[in-house]
Amino acid sequence: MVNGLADVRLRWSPLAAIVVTTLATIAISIYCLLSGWVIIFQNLFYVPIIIACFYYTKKGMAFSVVLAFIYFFLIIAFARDPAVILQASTRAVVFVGIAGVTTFLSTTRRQVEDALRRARDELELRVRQRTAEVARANERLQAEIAQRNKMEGELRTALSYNRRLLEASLDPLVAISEGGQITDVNEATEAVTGFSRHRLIGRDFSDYFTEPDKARAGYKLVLKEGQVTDYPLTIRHVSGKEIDVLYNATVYRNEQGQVQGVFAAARDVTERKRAERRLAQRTMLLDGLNRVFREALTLEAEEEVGRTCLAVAEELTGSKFGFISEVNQAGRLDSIALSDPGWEACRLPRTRAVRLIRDMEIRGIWSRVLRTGESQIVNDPASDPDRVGTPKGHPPLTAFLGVPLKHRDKTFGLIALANKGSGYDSADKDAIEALSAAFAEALMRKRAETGRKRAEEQLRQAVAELEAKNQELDAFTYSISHDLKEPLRTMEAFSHFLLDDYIERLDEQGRDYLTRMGNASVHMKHLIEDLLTLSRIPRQSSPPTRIDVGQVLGDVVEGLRAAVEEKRTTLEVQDGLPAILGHAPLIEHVFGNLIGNALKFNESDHPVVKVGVRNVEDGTATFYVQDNGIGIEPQYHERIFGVFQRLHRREEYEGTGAGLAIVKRVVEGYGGRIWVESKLGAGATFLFTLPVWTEAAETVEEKAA
Amino acid sequence: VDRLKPVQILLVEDNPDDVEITRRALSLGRIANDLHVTRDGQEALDFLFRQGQYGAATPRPDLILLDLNLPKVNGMEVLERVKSKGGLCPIPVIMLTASNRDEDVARSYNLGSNTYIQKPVEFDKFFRAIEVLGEYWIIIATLPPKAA
Repeated sequence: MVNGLADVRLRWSPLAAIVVTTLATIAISIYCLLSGWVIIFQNLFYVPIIIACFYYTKKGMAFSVVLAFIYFFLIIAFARDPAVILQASTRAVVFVGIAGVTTFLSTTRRQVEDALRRARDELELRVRQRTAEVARANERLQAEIAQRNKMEGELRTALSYNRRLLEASLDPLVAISEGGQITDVNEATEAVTGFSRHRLIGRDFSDYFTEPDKARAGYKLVLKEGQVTDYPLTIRHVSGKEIDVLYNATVYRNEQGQVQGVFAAARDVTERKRAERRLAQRTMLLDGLNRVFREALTLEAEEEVGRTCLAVAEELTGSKFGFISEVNQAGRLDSIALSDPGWEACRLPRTRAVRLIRDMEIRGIWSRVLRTGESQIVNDPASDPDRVGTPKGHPPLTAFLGVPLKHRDKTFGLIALANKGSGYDSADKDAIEALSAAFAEALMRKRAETGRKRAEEQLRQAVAELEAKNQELDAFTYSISHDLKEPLRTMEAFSHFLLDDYIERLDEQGRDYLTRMGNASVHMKHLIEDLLTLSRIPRQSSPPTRIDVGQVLGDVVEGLRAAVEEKRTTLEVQDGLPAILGHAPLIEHVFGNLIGNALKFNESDHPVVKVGVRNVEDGTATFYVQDNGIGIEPQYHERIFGVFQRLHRREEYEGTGAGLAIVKRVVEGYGGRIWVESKLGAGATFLFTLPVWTEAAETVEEKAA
Repeated sequence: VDRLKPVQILLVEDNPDDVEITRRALSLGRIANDLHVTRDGQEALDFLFRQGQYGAATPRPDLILLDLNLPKVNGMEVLERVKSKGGLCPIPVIMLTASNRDEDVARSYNLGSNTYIQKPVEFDKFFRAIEVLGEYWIIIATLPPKAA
């Protein structure tokens, strides 16, 4: 409105209009007056009058009066008619009147306009004030906004930091409202559940676990206790996969300290649990192996070991039932162990079940184990090509694991397990293969052990019997020799008494007969003694010990001193003879007999007997007894060692003929041998070997004894 | 011991040859002795207890040589009876037997025998053993007084 008025003033110049209209009106009036047209021009005067009065009020009024006068004078000047003049004067008054009215109106308008203007000015002033106020308020607002923006930025940074912190966590993190709805999750939670963030938020926390009740109880516990640590739960992934986790959760509060919800962080312990399960299974396996081996050692029956092995196998794999069987000589299967649950489930009488598992035909799925010698996992037995079905009443097979029993790479049986809930895997196979190897080993060892024990027992019995027989024989031999010697004693005694008391009453022949009788009885006594010695040589009750051959020879030579001196014999005994392993009386007997023979069968003027060792090798010493006596023809070199074998008549050389036989038995008793090097008339050298003493050899002998 | 009175020896022996050898061996000694021989255990008991064929005049032996393996009543029983009877108990009893069984040796000593001699199976050793035995018990050892 204000602007509109201003616009009219700008475009409209009232003064010019007044001048133009006035001049035009006057000109037209003059023209009209001159032309006689009075009526037309009169009204033209209103134009400048109204304009002038309107725009210039009082000045306009004056102008109008002037113009009214001009009009009047023009009329007067040009109109002669008095009526017209009257009329004109009236009109002039009207002009003035109009002018006055216009002026009044204009003045009033002006006043109104002024009032309006003032009002407007006031308004403008107010507006300006208001605007200033607003501007100030605006500034404040701007400052506040800036401040707020800044804070917002910081907040955003903080939020993003927190978010990134959350997302940086590999553990699934979740915020839960008091009501149990998920309010926030991180990406790890999305990954572990398989649901996107927007799907998760607003949903019930407990929906994503295998045990929702437990999950619910979990966050309720957090709300109650303020926090919970290591709360085990299993998250179910959208795919159905299960992930074991441990939850650590705490409540969060607002600034007023009111509980707002729960922060929960899950730690994926699947790997750890798997490792724990693996460890547990491994421990179970080791325990199982241990049990199998231990029981193999302690239990009498192999069926008991089999039962233990089967129990371990079932426990290890979580099988419902199973058996351990062995291929018998007929190529059929005999069970070593059979689990009870299987047969209870069969609802077969126990005796029948036991009969069933003996001498069973090798067929069906598990025959493949025996055929191929390789472990078989069949988790879908129904569609297996080798399937032969189960006997009536037998629980259906849902899964099968067969592992061969091998000894020296030869399959001799199998461990068969069935109906593990989730089916068998390679871990089961590996475990049972380890168990199978252990069981096969334990079984074979047990059998070997049993066989060995039986053989040992038989041997012990045989030895005991032999010892008893030996003792019996000893007693018998002793009593025989004693009983034989008793009459001889009588004969010898009374022939002595006869010779003592009646020698004068007997002639030469009688004395000779009596002497022969006495000699015969003495000879008989020697024969019996030699026989007794011969029979006792192989049975020495004590183990052989270290024998100093030099010392033994000293004793022997001392015992033969009389004979040596009688024949003026040169007896040479080598120095530094090795110690041997034997029994002193027997070794003495050997040397004594041989040296005695060397002296006895010697017709030389200067008998020479040499005793020594020819060589020592491989733990054996070869001794010799050499003489320059009558010698032995080669054809008799073997025969002289026979029992009661003599080469000469009794009256030539006394003796029973048992001496060398005894020597040979002694030497051979020590694992040695004896032989002679001789020619008739050229002396004889008897050679024999004996074991050289060493500490180790003695220990071995002691142990053997 | 009264040197003038012969020592009374009771020999309980069933083998007549051994009896003769023993007699000869003892007779060669320097001591006078009366050797009484009984041929089985029962006879020995009769002699000792003066019963049966043996009258009240039967001498009480100073020394008993006792075989173990005897007919009727064996030597061990004779020994037991002798050693359990107060009057006979002090008489030295010398076991003279072929047995070398440990239990015989142990039992004999447990029952109170004074010496155990395993009869040597060789004549000369047997003969010598009897000689030494006589010498020891009659000359060297002091026997219990008769009154006891």
